[in-house]
Amino acid sequence: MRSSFDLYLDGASLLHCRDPRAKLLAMLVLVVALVLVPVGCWMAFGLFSLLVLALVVVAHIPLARLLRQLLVVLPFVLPAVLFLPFLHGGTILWQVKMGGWHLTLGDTGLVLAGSILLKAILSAFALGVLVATTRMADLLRGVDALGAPRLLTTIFGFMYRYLFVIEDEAHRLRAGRDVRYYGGLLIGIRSVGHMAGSLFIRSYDRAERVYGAMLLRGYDGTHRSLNSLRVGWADVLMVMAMTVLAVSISLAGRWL
Amino acid sequence: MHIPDGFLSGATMATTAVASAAGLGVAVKMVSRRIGERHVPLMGMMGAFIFAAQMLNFPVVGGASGHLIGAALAAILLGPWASIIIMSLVLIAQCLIFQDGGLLALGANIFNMSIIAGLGAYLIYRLLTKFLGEDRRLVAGFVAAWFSVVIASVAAALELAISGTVPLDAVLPAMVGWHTLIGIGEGLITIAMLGLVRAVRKDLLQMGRA
Repeated sequence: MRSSFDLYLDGASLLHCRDPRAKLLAMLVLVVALVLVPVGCWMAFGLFSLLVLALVVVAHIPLARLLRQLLVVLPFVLPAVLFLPFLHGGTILWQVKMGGWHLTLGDTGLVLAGSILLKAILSAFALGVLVATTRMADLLRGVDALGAPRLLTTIFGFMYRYLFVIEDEAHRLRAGRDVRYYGGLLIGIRSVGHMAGSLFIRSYDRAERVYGAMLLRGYDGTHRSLNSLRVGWADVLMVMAMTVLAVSISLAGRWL
Repeated sequence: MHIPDGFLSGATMATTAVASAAGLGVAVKMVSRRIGERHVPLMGMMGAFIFAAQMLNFPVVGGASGHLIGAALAAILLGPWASIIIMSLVLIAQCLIFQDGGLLALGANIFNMSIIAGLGAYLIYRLLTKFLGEDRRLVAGFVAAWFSVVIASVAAALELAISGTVPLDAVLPAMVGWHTLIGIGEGLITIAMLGLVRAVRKDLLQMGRA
């Protein structure tokens, strides 16, 4: 089985041991405070970088993993960020004429682009810390305990359970296509459609089989778990510390 | 089209989050009225299917490749409300697993690619099958799939412009122009898939009506 989706890193760090609800809340506070930092507050961005870095170190997340995350985030963010400095004016830093086009690099856009880049990367890292230190099943139970609709968390649980299986199925289909494929855009598109079709039929039939197997084992629509969630002092302390830190960095960055 | 964190203003994030939560809430209500515990594994599996189908990419030109998004497909196969739930969960999974799309931008991403795209595709599909007749179902599927991609890109462009990140006259033509092309691929994949399922397992196409 390929495990490209399972982002949980086994460990026993301070963060691994915290209650999933507490981690979720703390991470949410952090990301909200970070995203609401005004454009160009480099002081606040610096402090937030240190905070996220501290979390990464505490959670024992290897550098290679962070770099891989960066590779996922950057292709979406970089092109947009590269255009921004040319779209917003401000003090002109650099100018070229290409045919009828005036390309002006302004400082407003440059500051905006830098801020957006930092926010996107830091928030992705913070989220990365959360999923690296929390098993998906625990995270789901946390979200459930926080009041998310049961239908959604149950369906999500099933989806996550079978992502790996259906992904394997998709890889087999793709490998089969790749050894037979001889080019042509339209043929390529059509064959992807047919692959999606047979993937759909296989998934549907698998769902029927899974449901039958679950019925045999007494499934009645409710999800049961052996160990229950418990909030301890350390969890409360973490949420409070994170709130104080994130809010004060956010405010300090604004006034300093 | 997954918007990362940092691109949207606080007001835009809050508004789209509230809109998405409301839409998802309605979808949960509508779906739980009709489905029993029997459909829970099926919905989960369909989410996994959409997730995996997005990984079936095809080469376009050079090193670039395209892939399916799936909102129209889900809406046509499973009905609008189930498709909203499934696409939203797929987007949440992509945010958690790949950090593809920001945590706080999730409201906007769900609004664009799940609610607007799903409802839009379903409306267009039903209207067209009514006007053109059931025989031209594939034409309706193509237009619905194309439309779902384009309208999602319009919504994303508007959100980025309202947030003051990019001027509207720059982002709207760029996003919509690009997704007009992507939408053609989406439409072709969608009808190839619907055609295959109809030829092989016609019974599965009735789910959206149930």
